[in-house]
Amino acid sequence: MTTTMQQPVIAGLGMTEIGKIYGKSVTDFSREAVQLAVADAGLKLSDIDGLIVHGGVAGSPGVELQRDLNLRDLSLLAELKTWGTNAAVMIQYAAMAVQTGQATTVVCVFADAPLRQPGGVGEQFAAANPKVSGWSGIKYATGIRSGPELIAMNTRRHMLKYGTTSEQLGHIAVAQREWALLNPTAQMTKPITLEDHQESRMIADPLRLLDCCLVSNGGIAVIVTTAGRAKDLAQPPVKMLGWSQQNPGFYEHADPDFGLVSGATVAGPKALGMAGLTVEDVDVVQFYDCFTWTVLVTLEDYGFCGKGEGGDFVSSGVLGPYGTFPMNTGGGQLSSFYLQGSTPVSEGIIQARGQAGARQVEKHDVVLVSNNGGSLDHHATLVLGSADT
Amino acid sequence: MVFGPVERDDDSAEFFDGAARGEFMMHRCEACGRVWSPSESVCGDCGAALSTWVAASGDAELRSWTVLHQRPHGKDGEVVQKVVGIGELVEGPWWWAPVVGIDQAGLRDGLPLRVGFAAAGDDERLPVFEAR
Repeated sequence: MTTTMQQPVIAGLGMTEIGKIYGKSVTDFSREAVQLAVADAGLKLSDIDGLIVHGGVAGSPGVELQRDLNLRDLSLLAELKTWGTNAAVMIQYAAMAVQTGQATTVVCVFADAPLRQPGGVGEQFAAANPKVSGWSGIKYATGIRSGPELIAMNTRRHMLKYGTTSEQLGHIAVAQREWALLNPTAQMTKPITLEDHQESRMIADPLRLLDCCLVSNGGIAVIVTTAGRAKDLAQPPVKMLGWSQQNPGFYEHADPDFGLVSGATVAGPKALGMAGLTVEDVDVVQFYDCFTWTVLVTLEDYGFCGKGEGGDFVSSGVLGPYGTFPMNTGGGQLSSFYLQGSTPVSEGIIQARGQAGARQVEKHDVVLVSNNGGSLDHHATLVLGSADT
Repeated sequence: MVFGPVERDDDSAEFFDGAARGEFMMHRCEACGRVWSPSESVCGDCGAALSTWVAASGDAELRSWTVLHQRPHGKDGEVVQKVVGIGELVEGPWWWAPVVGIDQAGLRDGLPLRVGFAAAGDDERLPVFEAR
């Protein structure tokens, strides 16, 4: 592929310590992640001329992070709120900014701190009842408090229509745990079996504990610049070959596709098309995996298998470090850590750079990354290329 | 108690009033006549703002469900199972609500349902789905 000097590339990645890390706020993690990304790229903070921030459930640094980092003369400054698609979406806007020349070196940062130290001051806030009113209050009063309850009903639809089973979902969980065991920073360090998955505590039937992602504190920042600028920097550039979003919208009305199809059906071909590629060209995939079901639907929607065939695909032996389909190679949100869209994005960058150590996939020229948000509300795709692509 | 407490707001006041009367109120678009869930504010077909309310027949079909495994008495207490489902009103809107009085083994796509009502906190009532 010919790379122009204006080709947007990822030149810096900063990851704080992630997991049960207490005593730091979302702003603390955001600041630290930006500083780590700048150091990773071989830049100085004063080289940054664009900043995009995104908060988590525990708050946001806001555009005041500029002040916090003492950044001057920013040509791009924004706070976004796009739920789980945050990382891919921020990076897309940064890419467009450097393509046009609006900015040259943009840092995108996401952080969250949902975990409170047990018994600490934060515990009091966490235990307080939220204001329960109106339409969302009705769902809350019904017992629909968060992701698992809603996504359980999507999963059920998929099972009813295509015969997908809990055991098939379990194959996803087991394979990703195998990858996590090769990842020194993964939160989960013990292997699991299919029996472990089947015996894990039921959260919202049919979703069990091992179908659900982790909870983590931490921050991740990514620096986007042009290929021309990145030539002089410290890391092999990760090319942004293509990108897209699809936010389908949804009426609470009869819908035969509900629970069965995500925005990846539209976003996948669009992003790959921008890159001049198809799914056949993809070497490694990093899928948003807040739940095992999300992975299965994404596989189908991108076209790695037919609609409804996801269960057969994931239980065919292709997953895991010893299979032929490298997916969620750091362990994902299920077994490594959960910082929403930043989880698959960061692992995609590490693989594309060839820096994944024991879990490095040999052929890593084209990495497909998905981000999801809400239930089936938000989707974004990135197509990343290695320095050799 | 199948519902926790909930407060009404301006958008949902008519709906809560209907529930108190034992009626499931939906929106009907004045411009094109399509019927929508009470929680919608804009007609999905023609874009008109939804302001007219009409009572549903109360007949529905089950489209999906989950079984919540709750521990109301703490981590070591007994697990209480509660079925929450998506019911498709015969008029078209979907509604998420507890499914009561139906054996879990009998749950299936298309199961005929009827809207009932149950207390939500001290002051309000909300719809549930029962066997039809």
